Amino acid sequence: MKETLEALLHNPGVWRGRSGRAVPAQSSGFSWLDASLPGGGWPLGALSEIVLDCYGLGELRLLLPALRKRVQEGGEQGWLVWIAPPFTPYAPALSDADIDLSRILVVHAASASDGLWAAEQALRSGQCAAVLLWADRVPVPSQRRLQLAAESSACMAVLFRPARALGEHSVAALRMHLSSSGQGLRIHILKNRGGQPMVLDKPDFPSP
Amino acid sequence: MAKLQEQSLPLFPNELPVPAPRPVNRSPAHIPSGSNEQLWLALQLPRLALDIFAPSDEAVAVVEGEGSHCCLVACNAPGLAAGLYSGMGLNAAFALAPELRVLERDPDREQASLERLAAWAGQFTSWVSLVLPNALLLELKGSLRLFGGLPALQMRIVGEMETLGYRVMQGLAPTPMGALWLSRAPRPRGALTDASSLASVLGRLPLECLGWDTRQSEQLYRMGVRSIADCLRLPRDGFARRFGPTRLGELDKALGRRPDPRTGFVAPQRFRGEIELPAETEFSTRLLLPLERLVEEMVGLLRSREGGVDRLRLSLLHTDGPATRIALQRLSLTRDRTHLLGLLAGRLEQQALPAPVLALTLESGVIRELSGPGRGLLGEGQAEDKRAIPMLVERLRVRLGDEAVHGLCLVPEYRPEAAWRRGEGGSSAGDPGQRVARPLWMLDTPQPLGQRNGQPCHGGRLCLLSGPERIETGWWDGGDVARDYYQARTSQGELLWIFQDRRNRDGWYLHGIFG
Repeated sequence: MKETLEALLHNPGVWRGRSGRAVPAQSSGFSWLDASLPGGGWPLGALSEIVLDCYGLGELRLLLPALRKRVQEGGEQGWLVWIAPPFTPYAPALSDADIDLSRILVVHAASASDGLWAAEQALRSGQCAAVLLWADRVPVPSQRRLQLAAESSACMAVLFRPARALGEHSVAALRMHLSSSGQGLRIHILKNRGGQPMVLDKPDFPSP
Repeated sequence: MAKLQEQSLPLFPNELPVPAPRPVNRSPAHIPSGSNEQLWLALQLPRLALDIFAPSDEAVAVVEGEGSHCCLVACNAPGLAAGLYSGMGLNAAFALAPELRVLERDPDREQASLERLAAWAGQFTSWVSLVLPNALLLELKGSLRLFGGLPALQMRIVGEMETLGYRVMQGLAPTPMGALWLSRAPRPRGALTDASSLASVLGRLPLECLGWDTRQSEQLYRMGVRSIADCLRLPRDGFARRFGPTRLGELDKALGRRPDPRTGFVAPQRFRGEIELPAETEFSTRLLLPLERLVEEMVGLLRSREGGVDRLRLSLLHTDGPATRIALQRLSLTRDRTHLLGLLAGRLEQQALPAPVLALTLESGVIRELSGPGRGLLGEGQAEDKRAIPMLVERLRVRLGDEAVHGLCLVPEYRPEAAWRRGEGGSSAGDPGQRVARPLWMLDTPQPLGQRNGQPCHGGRLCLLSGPERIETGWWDGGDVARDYYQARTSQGELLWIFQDRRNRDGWYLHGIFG
């Protein structure tokens, strides 16, 4: 009986309002963050947007445990694609974080449209564990294309944008703003499909 | 009386038993025939003169002949709708369709197109033969099992040819000549697979199916011969005297009473295809459809040779000026249609057209044998899927450039900037060395920091959290460094990796960011 009920509850055709909705997600590796996200982690097959005041707040450290897991579980299809990163992803640090370097692809794009195009190609290839894209200006139609491409895949799709994007419209399933609160990290979840917006203060966010 | 008796003897009596199949000599150059063991599919391309051009929405006609003898050979659907028909004089055609676009017939291109199709058809059978000017013969007996039976195979071949843009009429018979006759029948006949019913089925066909010249057909008609059956009832020696032994031989071959060896088509070492547009265009999107057709034809050839290509050249020909060339080099060997088309279309999209395009040519490098994944006929899709990342890399590189996509590798080296290098994605990454705190972001070149009272600052005072970590190495290659590294936090909360150059105590630099 219990199994039947479970199966029923996990049926995507059953809509259960806010809390119980089964959203495919990848645990972030931080219990406090998982608790605030529907599905218990970073959404899969949907676009997440991270808005940053500046680089170096811990935006990558926040993703690393989930990325590591995705790459490990992805196997042949566990590619981790970095598109238009602002600096060079540093191989020794990534290797230190137990991320399989042989699964990493770095893509440099000469223009914003090239970056968006590359992200769409990577998402649609169906071979990626996660696609990370850094973009300044993303018009809504392009966001929709990205979101659709993300939906066609089962991977983590993360779009990093500067703080001035805060005023713009976003179609992402999850949108958060990272800033500094004195010594630590403040995560302001602005949009949380299937969950609630909230502010998380982490003064003791793990240092490198 | 005896003479009369002999003359009225039926030439090809139906009741005569068909000779038992004899062992045939299967040399690669000649496809033997005449046995019950074979099944020939004849593909007649009645509209080849027009089909070699890219399709158009406007009325288009292909013409032949000079001056007042100039008449239409073929025209497309909008032309037919305007009331045009083949054989019509050009002036009359212009009277009906003043906007008609007229193209000169080009027999060389027709033959090239037919040869490309023959190469394409090689994916279905190893025995393909050209019948000039506009037909192909495919021996299917050996392929039936592989492609899931005759109806499935026949539907696939004809369906795919129609998708390529060719109008096809088909005929199926145990003899090549019989198949050709059936393919010329005014309305489609069922498949003729049984050699014993050759004479009765073929006999019902009208004389036009023989494909003989008008003079001979008229002569037969005047003799009261209306169908092939009538023709077969004529006395042999008289027939041979009037129409020549070759024609008599054709009848014999059709009925399988005489071997009909066909020259096998040998597929070329590389693909070369050209499609002319009915009207020049300056929009690259208009080129996609003909490009797709060329790629499709090429992939057929690649399948038939069990090979792949690693370089391609697409040329866009203009009315004047040099052709625009798009070259794809150093691809990983492939015959994946979607992938190749994606690569070409991606480049075409980026290409600025200096002038309207008249025709496009696709050439491949030498076809090489494709081994390993992607080779198996049945597991093809699955095997190709596994290689999707190199394909993704290729697709990205074609648009963004070779340098723009890379992987990461470790290098055993103390100097932070030399501890990694670019690699091919998927290659082994090297040994992880020491485990010390390193930032996830690295600047390509250290960026000098401002200073206040001898202390480094970056948009405000920097607070040093840990350090120094001394790195002093590299004297052997002239790139020696002597640095003290610190972790530092800015007032905005950024965590930075900075160093002080020990050669120059005033020099502070930003080298990394703990992202």
